[in-house]
Amino acid sequence: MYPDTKELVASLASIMSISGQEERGREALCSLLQPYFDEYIPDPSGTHIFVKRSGRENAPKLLLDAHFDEIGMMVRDITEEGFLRVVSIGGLDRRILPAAEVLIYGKETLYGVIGAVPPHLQKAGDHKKTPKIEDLLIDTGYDGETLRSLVDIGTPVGFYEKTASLLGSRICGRSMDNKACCAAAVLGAAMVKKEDMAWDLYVTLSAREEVGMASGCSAAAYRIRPDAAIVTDVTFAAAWGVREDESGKMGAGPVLSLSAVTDRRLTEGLLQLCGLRDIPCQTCVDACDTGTNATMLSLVGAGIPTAVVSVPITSMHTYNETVDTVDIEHAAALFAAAAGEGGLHP
Amino acid sequence: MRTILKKLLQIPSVSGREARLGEYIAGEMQPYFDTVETDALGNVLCRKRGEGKKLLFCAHMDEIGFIVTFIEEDGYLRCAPVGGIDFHAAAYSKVVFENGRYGVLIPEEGTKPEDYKGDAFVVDIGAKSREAASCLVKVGDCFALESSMVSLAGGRICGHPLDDKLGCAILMSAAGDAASFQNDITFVFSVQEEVGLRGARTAAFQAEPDFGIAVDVTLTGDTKGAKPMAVSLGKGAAIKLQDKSVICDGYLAEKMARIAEEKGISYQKEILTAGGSDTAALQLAGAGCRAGCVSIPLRYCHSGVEMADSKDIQACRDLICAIAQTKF
Amino acid sequence: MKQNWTTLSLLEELSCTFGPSGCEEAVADTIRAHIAMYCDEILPDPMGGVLARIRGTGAAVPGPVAPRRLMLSCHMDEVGFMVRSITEEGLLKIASMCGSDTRVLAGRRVWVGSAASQVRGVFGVKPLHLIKSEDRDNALDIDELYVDIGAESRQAAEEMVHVGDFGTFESDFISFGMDDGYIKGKALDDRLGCAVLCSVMRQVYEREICPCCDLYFAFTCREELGISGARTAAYKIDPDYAIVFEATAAGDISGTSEYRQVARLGMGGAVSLMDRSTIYDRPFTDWILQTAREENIPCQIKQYVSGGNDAAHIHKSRTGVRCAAISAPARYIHTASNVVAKKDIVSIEQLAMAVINRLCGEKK
Repeated sequence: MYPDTKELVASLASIMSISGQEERGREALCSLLQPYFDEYIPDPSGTHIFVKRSGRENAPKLLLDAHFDEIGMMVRDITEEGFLRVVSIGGLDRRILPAAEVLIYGKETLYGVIGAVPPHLQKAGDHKKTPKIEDLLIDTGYDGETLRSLVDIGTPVGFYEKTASLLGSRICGRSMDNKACCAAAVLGAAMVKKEDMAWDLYVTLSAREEVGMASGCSAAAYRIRPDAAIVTDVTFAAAWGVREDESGKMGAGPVLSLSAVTDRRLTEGLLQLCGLRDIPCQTCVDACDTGTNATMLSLVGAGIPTAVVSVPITSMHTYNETVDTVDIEHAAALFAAAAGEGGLHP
Repeated sequence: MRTILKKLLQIPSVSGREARLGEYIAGEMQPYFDTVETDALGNVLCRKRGEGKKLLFCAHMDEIGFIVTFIEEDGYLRCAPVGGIDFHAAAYSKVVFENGRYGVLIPEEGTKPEDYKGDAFVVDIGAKSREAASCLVKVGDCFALESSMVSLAGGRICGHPLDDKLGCAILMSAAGDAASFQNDITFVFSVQEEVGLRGARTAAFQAEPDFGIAVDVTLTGDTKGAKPMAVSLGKGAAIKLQDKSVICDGYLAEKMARIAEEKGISYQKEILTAGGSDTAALQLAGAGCRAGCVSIPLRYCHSGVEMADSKDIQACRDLICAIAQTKF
Repeated sequence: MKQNWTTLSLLEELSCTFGPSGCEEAVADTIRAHIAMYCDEILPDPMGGVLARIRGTGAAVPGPVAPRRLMLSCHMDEVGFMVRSITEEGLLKIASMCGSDTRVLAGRRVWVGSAASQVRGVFGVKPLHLIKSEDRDNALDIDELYVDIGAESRQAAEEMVHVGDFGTFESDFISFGMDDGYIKGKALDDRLGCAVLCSVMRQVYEREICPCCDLYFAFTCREELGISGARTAAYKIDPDYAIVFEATAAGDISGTSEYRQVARLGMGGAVSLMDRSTIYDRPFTDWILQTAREENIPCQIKQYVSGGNDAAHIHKSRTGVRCAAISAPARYIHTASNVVAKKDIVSIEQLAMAVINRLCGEKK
């Protein structure tokens, strides 16, 4: 029994998890994923650890890491007129902010619109400039006093856009980075039959990747001490002038990273597995840095052999990131294969 | 003519607020025409029925000015320009409201001249608070630079707003000769020219003329540092061939020039590369008409010191009468 | 024939309807379905507008404003774009029809197609990570914006979308803010005017109001392009008075000096004295303001000279038309997220009814 990919992605994306706020959705997350795992281990770092055991004694541990956090904003000021000023959390693409719709996670979840300056108030040439985030105001429809009773400085603010379908198997919406890969990891765990498992599978939905610390992932890995790790994260899809050799093609399967900082033997093993099981895949060169948790993860404890498996995405760090569910499913198939009998060699 | 002009200058008529001036002109024109009507937008249409072609002469009553948009807490007024205000020329001027009240138009402290535009200006009417100001002036009230007229050397006059009260005065003066007019003649005193030739369009739609002739001011090429332009002050009535809004009807322009020559009226041909005139609206209203313009050369247009030459004014009047008297 | 609707439910339906300038059929159909029963006649309009007539009694109008024919006008279209070409990769290149500010497009979800059917797309962007830092300050030019409908190739895209197809925002209709007193949606400029006028027509019918003069309700096309269907509608109707029901860009946000705010949400319809294309008839406008005052209906004067609307064409129609405009103050117009106050919708509808009531003689 495993879930529908789009529904799973949509459910995961609907759980707010702005960097630093990953624990808020614990209950929702646990009840969503409970059917597919044996155990949930909370981690003080904010990382959610889900375990599916092989039932074999002394089975090796495979860590499958997908960062759970998402980009967003945080309230830094509440004006008398009832507007909010914010700072960005993670590398927000501020070109998409004017007139964007947001949810403000205060005492209640409020709806808001990021203001766009009407033309008569713009200076000449303003329309050619990206507004600075400190200049933007979020319109909440409340007066200042009421708003202050509902929202505090530090309240997280996320995007509104729910997951929606495009043509074929493509979907768009907020937080596809990295809920698409979280879904791939969960789906992989769900797909591998317990009796076939050669590894104990630890899925870490880790905290604080977008703020550049990889701290959530490293802390959890330190606790788990896995024998091998696969990091799954999104990568650029070839579109909008992104060079083909620094990106993956959407719909052509997961992208395996060839990098100096990842474990080449493990990566080769995954590539062979794709070949054996007819799983479409592609490769991409990330010479010095994969831009994912993998770099820090491989340095945890005495070191962990780590590979990176990515899902191509367009419009990264906007509220309408787009992915192909086919890629998620192929990545999941690879993860299931890796954890199973005849999969990865410990 | 000077008496008429002086009277017209005394009645404020910022675009959209021409009603008082229209009423005055309509009253004055009554004796000379068969019908005098005011249309929905406020244009005054004076018609003398006659045989043959329908000729329409049109001078605009409105002047550029300002509208009050907001009253500040401290009694200053915010305003927006109505028509092509040159804020460099208007800064630090006395302004007059329709109710006769005075104020001064002042840029906000520290505004660089290159940033002179509506939002940078306030009007100080002497009120100390919003409350006090609101008793004297309302949002939506209009005002203009104080009107004036002085005589200069060589029969030249200087004042404001000669654009286009001069044209109105010329038509009103010409109306005195209405008994001698051939054709079916309509004099239109139009509204809202300065904000986009709006009034002349509906007036022409109603009058359905065969020939439409605007009577308006034009720039000259004889001011210091002026762009080359073959119109000079004192060289006679200008017959417009083209401006930014219109290419005049060639037949009509030629005919007007021939009439001027026959009657010995001094004239010059005008090609204006900036600005438009009611001519364009006349030309395109309804099914359209042959359109032209008798222009009055004017220096320093849209400033508080617009300057014209009496000889040109007389030539324009003579040309208009001559056209009206010529069977078309 | 639609029944059991409220101004708000109709506004929601209209807001979610696809109707960029030049492609207003779906909006027109919705409006016709709601008003057919409440008017004497719907005139054919080659421009695609809906021109509905309620006959007057012909009695003398009691009062100083005495129209022969009153035109109540609003526009059905919304800002949008057109598909210019389709790339090899299956992305849509577009021609904007929504003014100069393309900053509100990047990242948005859109609908692309015809009045009959549309597909969803996204204005994708090249990821920020791969853009030089100095370029991040530059707003995306229209040439750098593509719509991704999820097609894998030009061929796949062409099965769903054609060059020349229309597009507009996808945006949920949301109530939010204090007491859910605000609405966010696309095209509230000017579906709000449409919903109000539909509702006014129903009220005139249901309350058996008999205006002395003919009332013409004009739902016009292509206002956002500037070349307006109101121009031809006014020619056809030949009114002597007209009121334009619009939305105006309110700037009542923190940090904006009061005098540049134009209008404030929640303070009632904004009555215009002058904008960039019209000087409104002052006696008519004053009469409307007085009506509001006497009936205790909130309304405000638009306190800035900005924008323009269908009045630009109506007031210059034929021999001239006395025009007034009542606009709903709306924040962020011409984006996917117009914001208006529900209170203002009520006030504007009340004011429209009060105006019509004053043009009545005896009741039936």
